[in-house]
Amino acid sequence: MAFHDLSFLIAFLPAALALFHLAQRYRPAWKGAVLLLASALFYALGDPVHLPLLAGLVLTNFVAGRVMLRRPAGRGRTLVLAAAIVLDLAVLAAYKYGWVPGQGPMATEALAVTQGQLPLGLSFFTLQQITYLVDLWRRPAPREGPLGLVDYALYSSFFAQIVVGPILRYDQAEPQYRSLSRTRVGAVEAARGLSLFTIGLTKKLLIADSIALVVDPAFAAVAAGHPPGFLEAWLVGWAYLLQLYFDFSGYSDMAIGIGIAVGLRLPINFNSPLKASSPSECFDRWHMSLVAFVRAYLFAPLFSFGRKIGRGGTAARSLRSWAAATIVSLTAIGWWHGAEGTFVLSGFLIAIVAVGYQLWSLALPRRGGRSDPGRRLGGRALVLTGLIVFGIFFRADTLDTVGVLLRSMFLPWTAPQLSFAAAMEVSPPALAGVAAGSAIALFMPNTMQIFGLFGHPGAPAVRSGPLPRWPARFVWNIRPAWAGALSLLFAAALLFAGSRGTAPVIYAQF
Amino acid sequence: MTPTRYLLTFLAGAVTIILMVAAFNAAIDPYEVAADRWYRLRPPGYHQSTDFAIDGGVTVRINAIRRSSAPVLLLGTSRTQTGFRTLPGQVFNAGQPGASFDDVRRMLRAAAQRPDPPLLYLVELPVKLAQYTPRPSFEDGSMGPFERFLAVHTAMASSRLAWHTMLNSDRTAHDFFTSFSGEMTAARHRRIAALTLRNGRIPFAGPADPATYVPAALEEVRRICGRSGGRILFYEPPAWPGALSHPSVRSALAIRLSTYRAALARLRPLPGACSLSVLDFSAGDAGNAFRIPPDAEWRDPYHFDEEIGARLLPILVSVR
Repeated sequence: MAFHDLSFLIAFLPAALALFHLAQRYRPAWKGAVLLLASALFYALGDPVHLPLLAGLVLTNFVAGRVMLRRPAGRGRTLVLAAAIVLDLAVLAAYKYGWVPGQGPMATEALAVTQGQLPLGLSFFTLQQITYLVDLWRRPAPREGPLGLVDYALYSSFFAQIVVGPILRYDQAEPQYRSLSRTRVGAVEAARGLSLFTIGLTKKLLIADSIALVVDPAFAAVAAGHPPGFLEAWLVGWAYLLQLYFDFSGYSDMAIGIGIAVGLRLPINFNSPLKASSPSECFDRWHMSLVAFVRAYLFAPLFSFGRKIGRGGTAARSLRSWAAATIVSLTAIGWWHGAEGTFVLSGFLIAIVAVGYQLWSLALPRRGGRSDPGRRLGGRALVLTGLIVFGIFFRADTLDTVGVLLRSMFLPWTAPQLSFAAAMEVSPPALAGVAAGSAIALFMPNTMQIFGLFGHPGAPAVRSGPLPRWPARFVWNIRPAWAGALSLLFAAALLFAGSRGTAPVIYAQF
Repeated sequence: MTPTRYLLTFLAGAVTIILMVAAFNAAIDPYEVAADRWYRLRPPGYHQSTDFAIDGGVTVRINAIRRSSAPVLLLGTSRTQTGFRTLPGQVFNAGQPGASFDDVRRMLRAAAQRPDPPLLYLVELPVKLAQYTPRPSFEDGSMGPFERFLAVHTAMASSRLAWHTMLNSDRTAHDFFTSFSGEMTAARHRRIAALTLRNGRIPFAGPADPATYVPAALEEVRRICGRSGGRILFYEPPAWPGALSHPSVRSALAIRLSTYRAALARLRPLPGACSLSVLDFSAGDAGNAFRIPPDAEWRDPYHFDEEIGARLLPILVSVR
């Protein structure tokens, strides 16, 4: 079951919210249990086979956390941490990469059963377990105890974020889940949450799925041996980038909206990444919860360690360590998406570009500063180009397809001019989706700005400066115009949800 | 506005819009599920806008076939649809754009179930055996109430139907003609033909898995024929001579014809007056009873004009 399925929209979600609010009114202490039961049902409907596995992992990690806290900081605690993380990663590796210890990256006959049947949300679930374990390990001494089993199980499996995140770090989650039974969710939060959910649903069904009508045939045409021309290749790459952005950010908005409706502040995942004017700014705006995780749990430890070793002064060691940690971290992000060459290579190439750009920026004399229009324009062009190339790696099934598209984009005089346009049909809804998506992604405020989600993890604490006049009209508030407009969008999305041709969530495959 | 009122407005607005769409689709009924119901706004019968429905207009055609009493039934793709002008009461043209053998079989079944089934079924030799994505239908349960009342594609088909019905701009009843936009000049024709052939869009490619699919499909056709009597004639319609000059086109066509003929030859004896046969009119008729005029107009390399269809139809009807 996905958020955009009809059964979720007209049955599951209304029932879950109704039960939650009934519990809030009559039995506030049961709110967490109600959400946990709803999450268990959600998982059972989506992937019943792996529900026991999920439950087992929740219990195992819960016990590991408790065991760690009983021990003082030191080797014993670290061993428990290592064992628990190895177990989590081993389960993920077995399902995702078909790895068997001692045999290398090969799928055995036994693991052939698991490979290709990745448990729902396992990739995101594993990262949240790691944050739980590491954040507990870092506690110097027991303060307030960690979450109880019910709240911890809910944190691990909350239906709003189990499938594609956003990834909520345990330190940020603990105070929210601890106060869940005491937090009162009023009509304002319900209205804000449902409105944000509707915007996310619209982004997914009306924009991303419309754009898919041109992207899927285009990539199929390339794979079938019809290379595109120069302009066609760029348009296809741009269209897929838009599809990916609206698909994933739409889903993130839906998750955050559900969270708001039940009193939880889930992390912001996107902050207009297509408006970024440098690679580092783009990393701060795209899939922010994953980047925050990698920064905190991979980059920072590697950087700290790397600064202490090697020759040279502090600056040189810091620079080397930063470059190495960046390359490892971004390659790991690519690898987390999948073991296929396209993903790993995309992560590595992004890392090279990021490091190269930063070194180049350091080497250039600063003339106009960061606000230099020329630098910003160049940075934006680089970011969009990089994202388009990344998207092609992401979407293509083989490196051959990647090669054909990149050749048409960057070496058009060498690409054969065959009949790409005749090999695919572009429908008006697809073109409308691309046009609308381009305008929204490049010029409109994002949902964080529209709904004022500045107190959510990962978001700026306050709105960074006043919005220019015309986008300020798009700040959400409790008014009939917003209620009417969103009801129209929700109805349209519901009609699309029940129609044929809706695409699966792209990130649910990871 | 209070938050509670906001929520109520939001929910009530969404529900109202959805109910309006449902009522609109029920009243227009693009699938002809409720052809005789009182709330239906348009008269029953095919309209070319129904081709835009998600089932490609199969349901509408099936219903129209059931209501028809014509003794001759034309089945096939858009080549049939656009190539033959119907003779009301005598010949019923049920050609459907993009039809597969599965679609044709469904229409054959519906026709055979008529109280007075057709005496002659003229079936364009199926190129596409099955849809890559099976067409949804109400018969097999793959389309339910949501598709009928609420789906976006249903609303779009209803909107087209309502618009054209208001304008009274297209033929209704069981006249299944549609029209190509733009005049087919010789230069445009050559350009399209060249592009079509270069892209490999040759609709003569052999059937997938012919060893199992074609005999099984023809066995069912044989049963249908046996239940209703009559004759079923599979024929290869005319093609533009320029297309047939390509060796790959000719060889693909020859393979298709031989596959169907071989499969027919292995069928069990046919019951009653039922008979099945395969004829090739792609390049005219070997006996010169039907010749394609050298200056004939073509809509594209594979869609012949009504002039050719008018010459071919009497020959098809008179085949023994």
